[in-house]
Amino acid sequence: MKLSDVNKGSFCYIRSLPPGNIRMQALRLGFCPHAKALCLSRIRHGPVVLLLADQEIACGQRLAQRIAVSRLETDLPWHGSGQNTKGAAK
Amino acid sequence: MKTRQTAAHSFTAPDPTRHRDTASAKSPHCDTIPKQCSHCDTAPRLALAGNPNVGKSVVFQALTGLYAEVSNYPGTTVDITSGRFGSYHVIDTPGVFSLADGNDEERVARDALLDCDCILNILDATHLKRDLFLTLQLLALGKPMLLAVNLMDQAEKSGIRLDLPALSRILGVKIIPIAAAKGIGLDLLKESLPALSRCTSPDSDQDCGSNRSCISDANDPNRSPNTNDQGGSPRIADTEEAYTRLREEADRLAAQVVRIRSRKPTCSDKLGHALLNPLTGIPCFAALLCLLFFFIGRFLSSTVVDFTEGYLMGDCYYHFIFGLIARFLPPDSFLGNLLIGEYGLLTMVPTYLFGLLLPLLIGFYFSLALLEDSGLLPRIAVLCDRFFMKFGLNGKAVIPLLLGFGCVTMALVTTRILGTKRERLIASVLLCIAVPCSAQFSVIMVIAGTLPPFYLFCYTAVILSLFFLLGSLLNRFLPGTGSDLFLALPPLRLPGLKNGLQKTAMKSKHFLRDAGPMFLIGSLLISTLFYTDGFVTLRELLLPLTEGLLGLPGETATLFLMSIIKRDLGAAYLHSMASQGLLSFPQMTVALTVMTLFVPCFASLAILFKERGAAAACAIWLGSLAAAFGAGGLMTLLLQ
Repeated sequence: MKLSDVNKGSFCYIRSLPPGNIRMQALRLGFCPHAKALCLSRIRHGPVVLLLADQEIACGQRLAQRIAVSRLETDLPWHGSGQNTKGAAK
Repeated sequence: MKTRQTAAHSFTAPDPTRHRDTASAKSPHCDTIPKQCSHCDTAPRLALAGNPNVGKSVVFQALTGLYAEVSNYPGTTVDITSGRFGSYHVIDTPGVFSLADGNDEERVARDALLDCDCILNILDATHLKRDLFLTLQLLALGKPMLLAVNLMDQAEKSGIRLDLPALSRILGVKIIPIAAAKGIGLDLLKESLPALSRCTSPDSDQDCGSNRSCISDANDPNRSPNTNDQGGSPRIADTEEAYTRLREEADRLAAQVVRIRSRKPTCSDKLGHALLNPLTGIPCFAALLCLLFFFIGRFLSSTVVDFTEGYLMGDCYYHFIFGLIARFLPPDSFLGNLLIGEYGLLTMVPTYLFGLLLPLLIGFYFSLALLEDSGLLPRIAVLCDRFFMKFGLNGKAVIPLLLGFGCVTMALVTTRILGTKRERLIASVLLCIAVPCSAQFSVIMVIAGTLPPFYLFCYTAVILSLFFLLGSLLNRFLPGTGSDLFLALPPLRLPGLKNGLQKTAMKSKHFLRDAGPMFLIGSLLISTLFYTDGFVTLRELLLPLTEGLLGLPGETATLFLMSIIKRDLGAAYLHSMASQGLLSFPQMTVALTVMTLFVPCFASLAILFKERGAAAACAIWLGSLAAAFGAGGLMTLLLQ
């Protein structure tokens, strides 16, 4: 599924990022494949705001449509769950 | 990787002895550091580097005693600021996430860091995992480096525990925990810096912070993202592969030294999330704007300005200075006219500068400083993203556009935070044409406060329509596409009163320094024209425009002349015309429309030339003239 389809309050794993400059920008922020994120806000036809390792990151709608994620159904603690996510993703 | 797990370091008061002991492992590579000082005769250059919004400017202030603008949004520093600390020449670089040269900010920071002799890397304790990415890149530059982990107090509150001694051992650099805004740890930082410069001498045996052998993959010379050319300056590789490796390395490091306890959302978190919801966020921001309007348009104009302009400058100062000068000079002589005439150097200039504009500006700058410090601007950017996409921009453009209400010149520099040249050009056009600067905006609010609702609606509708039209046309006809919004949001925080006052003082000083000479030139020019009857000629020449197209009295020729010299001067003159009852409500609305859209001031024009090139600057200047008179003519037709 795409990041733009994730509902507010849902957790997801980032699966892939679009190539190019935005991918490089994302990597710097720790926004990379296997990272776990919580969707804080999704504005209709607008940006998605994620909480990733205690950092809030806003992604524009067009970008969110190009980011593949997989949804995580379990209810996880609020903060602090962004660390050590690689193992869990695998 | 050599690592040792130690107890997490909890932040209380820094203990100088402990940090010296734990973080001063002697570097075997000290003498291999590239010889310092390409300019041996100058002071060693210490660059402050770090991610955006980690507190570099606060540390810069603490070290140099100079005020560097501090705000709670990424992109506050878009250029180099420098000062002195001891023997160091200290350079505050723009906040960047990496040493790539993707945009102007990154290029500026990268050049400064490649050129400096030693580095003070500031990290955010609440986002250490994110910040270590840049730290690893900086380490690979091979320069003496010191790490200052800022916001330790907030990390502690958030349940984040950092094992800084372990991180120091792994990285081979000294680490100092600080809470710069509260001044905690800064003394230790200042004590530690002199030792850093000693590392730059070839025979130094100091710890240079270059013990990078313990960092495995990311800084392996063969795989490093920042490989050194043979004896030359470091080459910064910014390939995806290098970035992935660095990110993995930073994550691995963070996993060893960062421990986060789960916590419940705080009030600040809840408020932040509410502001990101259009249903709650938009009304909140609209309420803030209304508050600003009432504060400046009603309170400041009716109480403060009435006192400063009417009583202090009018009743007291004017009578005093007029009486004093008139004893020696006849008021109708050329010199008398120049000094104490209607547009005199000693009458009009101080009345406009100190009686009218300064009180309004102090109020406006203070409000803007609180807004900038609170972290609200990036949240407004998120809410506005969808709206700005129609103009080929993304939500980030709201930051320079809102700052333009403070000073268009500075906002033009801030457009550097936008991703592409196309976006920067669109934002510059909108700023120069449709965004009034602080003095203009304050006067507009004061005059708008006196307009009946119908005229206020007409004025707002025409300006907003033109903003939409201009943005849409530029998006349609300029080649290329816009970039996507990708923005790290800073936390919401209570604005600091001290920083707000400092910023207001700095901006007010800047305004006086910038506007003062232009007001003097304007006064000299207009007084001369007035005395030599040149004004009558000018007024007659402009009659088809003023009376014909705009339906305004001939005196408004003065207004346009003043506005070309300095928009603030024109705004002050418009206020004076309105308060003397020279304009009816429809005329006031037309004059306001023309003034809002009028040409950028000389300072903005100079920045436009520098940032956008001569052709774009001239086109914007002429375009704003056409837009101002076109919209004014349209408004006249509407109101007739």
